[in-house]
This record gives sequence, structure tokens and C-alpha cells, in this order.
Amino acid sequence: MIDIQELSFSYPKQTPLFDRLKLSVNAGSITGLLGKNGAGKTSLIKIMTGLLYPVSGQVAVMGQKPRHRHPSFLADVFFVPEEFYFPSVTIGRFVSANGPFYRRFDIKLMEHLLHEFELLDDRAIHKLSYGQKKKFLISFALATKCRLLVLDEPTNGLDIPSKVVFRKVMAGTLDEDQLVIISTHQVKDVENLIDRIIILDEGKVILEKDMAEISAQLQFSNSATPDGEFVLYSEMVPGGYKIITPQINGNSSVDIELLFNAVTKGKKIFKA
Amino acid sequence: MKTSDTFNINRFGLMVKQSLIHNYRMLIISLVGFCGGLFMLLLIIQAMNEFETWTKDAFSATFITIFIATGLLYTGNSFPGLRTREKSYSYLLTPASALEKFLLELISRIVLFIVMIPLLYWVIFNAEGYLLQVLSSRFHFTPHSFAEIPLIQVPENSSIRYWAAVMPFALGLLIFTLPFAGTTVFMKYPLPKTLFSVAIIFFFHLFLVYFFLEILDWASNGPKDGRILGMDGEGAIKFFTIYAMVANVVLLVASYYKLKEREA
Repeated sequence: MIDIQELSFSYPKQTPLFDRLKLSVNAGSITGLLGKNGAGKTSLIKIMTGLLYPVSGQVAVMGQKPRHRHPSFLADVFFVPEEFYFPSVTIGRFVSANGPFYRRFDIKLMEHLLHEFELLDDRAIHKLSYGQKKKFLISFALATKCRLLVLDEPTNGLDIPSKVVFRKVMAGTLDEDQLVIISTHQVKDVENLIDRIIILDEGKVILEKDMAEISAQLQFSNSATPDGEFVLYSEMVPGGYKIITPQINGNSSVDIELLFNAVTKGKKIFKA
Repeated sequence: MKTSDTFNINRFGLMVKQSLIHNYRMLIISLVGFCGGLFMLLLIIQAMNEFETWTKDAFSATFITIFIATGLLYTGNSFPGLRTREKSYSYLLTPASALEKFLLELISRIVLFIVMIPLLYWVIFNAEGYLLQVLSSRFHFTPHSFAEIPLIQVPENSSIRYWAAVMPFALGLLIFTLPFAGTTVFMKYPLPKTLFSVAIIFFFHLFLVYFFLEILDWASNGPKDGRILGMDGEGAIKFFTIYAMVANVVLLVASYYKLKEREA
């Protein structure tokens, strides 16, 4: 679905952000896009959605060039930014004004998601709290049934029950032909949700793997000591250490935070 | 069925519907505010003139001033979806083509304004006049129409009478196309920035004329018969009409491409 080849990008008068970056992502997954501050996550998302133009290289999303922003492309892409704007209208009016642009817009799903997030149809959007606005925007994004959904820090501002609902609706409402890209620093919020991970660092993709593949290769556990013959990476935590070792038991749940730290510190934790 | 990615009437209809739903409150407030404000303004102008009957010249001058001032303000706020980064995300990613978005702004900011404002002015002017006549026996209201506004006077049989008729409209349209283009170029405060840019360009050209004609004394070698740039009065009317028409087209095309290439 997304095919990026030799992408170079820089903001005016700044050092290049991406230098010949390559990335391919297929439909049918919830992909976590991780990186340190300034790694270029949001810029990459904007390039994928056509909000920024690459300096050079090829970017194809669903076979189209995002920079053209063709309506047929935009009708299949929805971006939930971290900061957003809503006009002074009610939820119901917003849905009736914007839903028809998306050919697969599912009004029943919209109503269901509003119910799940405890939002009322007649509430004025501009009077909602930041978290409520975000829940509405996530609901609208899911109801569009766009083939590419891009969410930038979707759990920022959500309260604890809403994060639970977020994970539930994300897992339960997606179709096989959809791809969801979640860019976030709140990895704990999406740990059991994402099934593929992409880590960006210094303008390059330094890790791109399925969670199942990671889980089959690496064991994430706690230990009293950081040392050991098989320890690939360790981090001190209250009461001991978190360690990564080669997988021996079949599989284990992936500690994304630990994995992220290991990979961005350049540790060779995967077999070549 | 595959629809055009350049223009589709149904999608354009959705854009119109979206714009009306998102802005209906602002539209109503602006319309009521404009009519009320205009009524008050006309009343104040008359009060300052001790409730004298409107003359043709006063009617024209007031209309032209209001038309230019509100036109600059209204068109200078075109493309509100480009004013902040957050608004740009939703505006640029709305599934409509750049042409559809451009046409909607062009129609709502320029075409509708040019049609609506004279109509509203005429209605308010007459309403205010008749109301005063009813309230005050010493005030006599004389209706005026736009046909009385003097544009450029040329003899009936002049070969350039069509050019002379078009010139005020072509030049007048620049009042709208300039700030309209400015709103696609500047993200923040587009109207002051556009006016400032135009002022710089204007004064630069004025300086060039002064430099060549006065400092280099080219004027002493030029024609002495009052010709402008080697043209007589009729030639100048044709020149400035064509110049204004081309400038309008260039500004509109440039606005379209700026919108098409806009990043967020």
C-alpha cells in the first residue's frame, strides 16, 4: 500500500531530515511508527498524506502520488493530527457536512463509536474538551473506512477509560484492506494493538518488523542482574533489570519501550 | 464509476454544502452586521450633513468607498482554511480537487460579493432614506441608482467607448484579485502583507519613473504633447484596460497554483 523509494526531504535552511529513505508497508496491519523527538515521524506522515512534498525520491500510496492530492486519493486517506481544528458546529452537523466525501463512510459505525466514547450527537464540537474532540476525530476517522488511517499521538489527552475504548474500537472495526499507522511516544497505550513496528532514527528506518517476528526471535523478561551469557540488552528498573535475550520458549510479549531503547542505541539484537 | 480528479459537480456541491454548514453562523452574523452597520453609517453621514438630501455624487462616493473597503477586508480573508497549520490539515485533506476549492473561494469571495454588495447597498440606502422621510417631515428622500455613477466619460461615437466601459471594471477587479492572491501566498496577516507588498512594488515603479525622467532627465527628450508612455489618451485607456485584465488573470492563475502547491 505504501511504497517509498530513495526519499529525501529537508525543511528550508535545515539539515536533511531523510536521505534516500526506503519503506514499504502493506495493508491489513496496525503499524506503530516510533522515533525520538525530531526523528521525522510527523514529517513522514505528512509526506505520506500529501501535506508535505519530498525533495526527491518516489512516494506511492495506493498507487498514487500523495503530492497531487487527487480527490480519489484523499477520499481514501484520513489523518488524525495531534493538534486539530473544528468549526463551530455540532457533531451531527459536522458528520453530515463531511461524511459524504468518503465513499465508504459508515454512519452506523459512527453512531456506534460515538456511543462507545460517550459522545452525544448534538454537542457543539468547539465546546468539547481536547480529549473529547480527539475521541470524536478518532471515531470519524474510523467511520470513514479509509484504506489508510494515520494517527499522530492518538492517545494524548485521552483519559484511562477512553484509552481502553480506543484499543477496543481500533481492534474491532478495521477491515482487511485497511492500514493504520500510529505514530506515538505512548508505546504502552498501543503495545497490544500494533502488529508491526517501524522505528525511525536520524532519517533512516532502523527497524521494520512484524511483532510476531520480533516475539519469535526475542525474549523480554526481568532479571536480578544485567549480565548473562545470552543477554542482548539490559536496562535498570526499580527492583532489578529488564533484559532482552534470544527467544527460547517460543514467543513472549514484546516490550516495545525496551526494544526501542535497544534499537536506537545501536544494539545488535537481531540475528543478521 | 471513476469520477474526474479535476472537477466533479457532485463533489463541488459537497464542498458548497460543507462550507454552508461550517460557516452558516458566521454568514448570518456578517450579513446582519453589515446591513446594520451600513444603515448606521448612512444615518451618521446624513446627520453630519444636517439631514440634507443625498446628492448623486454623495451616493456614488459613499458606495465606492464602502465597496472598496469591505471588498478589501472580505477578499483579504479568503482561504480561511490556510490561516493556521491545524486548519490547513483539514482543508488541504478534504477530498476535493484544488480547482473545486479554488472555484468555491472565487465564487464566494469575489463573484458573490460583487453581486451582493451593490444590491444590499441599494436596499439599505433606500430603506434608510424612506425611513427618514417618514420620521422627519423636513427630509425629502431622492432615490438614486447605480446607473448614475460616473465612470469614464467618452463621446458616444468614440472608437474606444467599449474599452472605456471595461476599464473601471478591470481596474476595480484588481481590488479583489490582489488580496485574493495574497491570501494564498501569506499564511498570517495576508491583507496587511499584501498591501505592504503592493505599496513596495508601486513605490519602486514610482521611483523608477522619477529616476529616469528627473534624475537622468529623459523627460527633456520626451514628447511634449502630454502623451503617456508614447500613447495618446485613447491608447492609454486601451493599455491600462489590457494591463488590468492581464493582471487579473495572472493573479487568479497564480492563486490557483499556489493553492495547488500549498504544503502544511
